[in-house]
Amino acid sequence: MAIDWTLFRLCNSVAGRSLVLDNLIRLLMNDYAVATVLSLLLFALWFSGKSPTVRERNQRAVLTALTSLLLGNLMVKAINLVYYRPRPFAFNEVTLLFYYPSDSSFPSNAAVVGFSMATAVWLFDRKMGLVMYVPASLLALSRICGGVHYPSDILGGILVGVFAAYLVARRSHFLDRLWTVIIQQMRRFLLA
Amino acid sequence: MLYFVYTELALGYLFFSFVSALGILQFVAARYRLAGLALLDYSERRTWGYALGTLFVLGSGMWFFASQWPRILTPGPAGAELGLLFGVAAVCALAATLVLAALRQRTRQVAATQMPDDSDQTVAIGRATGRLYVPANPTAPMPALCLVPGPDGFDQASWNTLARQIVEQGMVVLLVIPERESYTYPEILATLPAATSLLSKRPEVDPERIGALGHDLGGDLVIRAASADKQLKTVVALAPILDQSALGVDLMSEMPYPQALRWACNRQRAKLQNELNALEYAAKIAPRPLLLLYGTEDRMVPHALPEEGPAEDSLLHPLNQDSITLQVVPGAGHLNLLDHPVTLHAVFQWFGEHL
Repeated sequence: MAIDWTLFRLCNSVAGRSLVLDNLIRLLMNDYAVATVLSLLLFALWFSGKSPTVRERNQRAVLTALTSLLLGNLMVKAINLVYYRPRPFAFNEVTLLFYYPSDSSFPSNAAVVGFSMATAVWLFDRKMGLVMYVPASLLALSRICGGVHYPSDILGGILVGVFAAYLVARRSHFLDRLWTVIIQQMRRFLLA
Repeated sequence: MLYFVYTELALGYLFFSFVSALGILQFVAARYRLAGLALLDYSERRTWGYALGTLFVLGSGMWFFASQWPRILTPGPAGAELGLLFGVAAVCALAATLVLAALRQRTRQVAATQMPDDSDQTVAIGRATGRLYVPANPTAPMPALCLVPGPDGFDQASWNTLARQIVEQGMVVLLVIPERESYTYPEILATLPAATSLLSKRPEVDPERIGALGHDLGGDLVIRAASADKQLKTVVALAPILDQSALGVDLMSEMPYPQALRWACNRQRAKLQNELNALEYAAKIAPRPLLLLYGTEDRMVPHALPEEGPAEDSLLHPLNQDSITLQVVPGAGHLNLLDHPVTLHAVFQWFGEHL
């Protein structure tokens, strides 16, 4: 895993050089900022669309994204039951810009959150999906720069997130019927 | 078990999420022209919606991160707790937006209905009532028009203005007042013959030159009535409901949430539309001319006619006749079609040519 460590050192080397850059990284890597941005984008997507057909597609994307997020988190829990990887700062000297997380480093839960939602939306709406990949990628990169994840943790998180979104969007046809029922019921109350 | 670690941080995040969700809804309201979600009127200036949305999102974000920065960099609530807080905030923001947008539009409607009623006289039209508008000094028998609004969302000011403008064109106008009890089938079918009968007995009216104009289900009614009442020389139907009405968010494109919900839940309205069956009866008006007008922004009537006319597989294909003119009004919606200058111009021109 030498390349993993080399890449980590490269990214982490930007930390601790400038207060402004450090705070920018902290702003991106915390649990609130990017997660809220992604949630707000999903909230907007629910009501977006110039025609009922487009809006229904967007609403399916939102429901798929939320289910992907849930599935991705369950997959992380399952992986953590059988595999524990210490954080980069556990046995090495790194510049840490955040608190000391105690859970397993692999896979990155933050990457799972961002990429499961962004991929789920991308499978329905390429443009909006690409927009959502931007904050998801910044969150993932900032977690390496901030010293809490190895690049391979992020890669693992991305794979888990993308796989969860793919499973929900493309391999769970029974959910399509559930989405139809939910959207129809919401539409009765003019909320879809 | 939920554990929020810091109460102040959790409440701060709840407030941040609430205000930023309000902001996002303003973006959506401005982008997709959803009046039911708009805290201000963005129909003329979308940028106001974007500006207000930006202010809410950035303002609340800056406040939250500035005030909670030390706590944000320490272990805080887990993802499930944050998700719950965001969900509660988003639902509250949606509810607050719907209520505030409804209050804003309610205030505007109250101001509009307080305009003085300057009609000449109130008359009985069978079981319904109407207002008669007569030019000040009629010299010779003149053409007359019967105006029939839809049963919901009657905008007295708009109809008064329209009636006054038609009177200025040298016509007598009889406006049917929409009352819920008179908009029932088959009683409603007696309204227009009673109106034409009343008009034709007036000394200032030329009984050979009577037309009708209806809006929304009023348009369905004038089509249905004109198919049997040969005294009506021509008909204009503004946004008649010839197919199923829209459901869902689209109903909030022009109405606040409570009004849109009443519209969606009004089974009597859907029943009346089916019973009037204007689509079938429209073809029976021929050879007398019929003008159908729809707004391009009309999302409450989902089939809004394309400029090139209905496609062959469309339900509206029977409307492809020489005696029926289909016209779309760029930028007009369903409820504001009546007030649009292009609509008024088209209506005046139509009745000037055909009455």
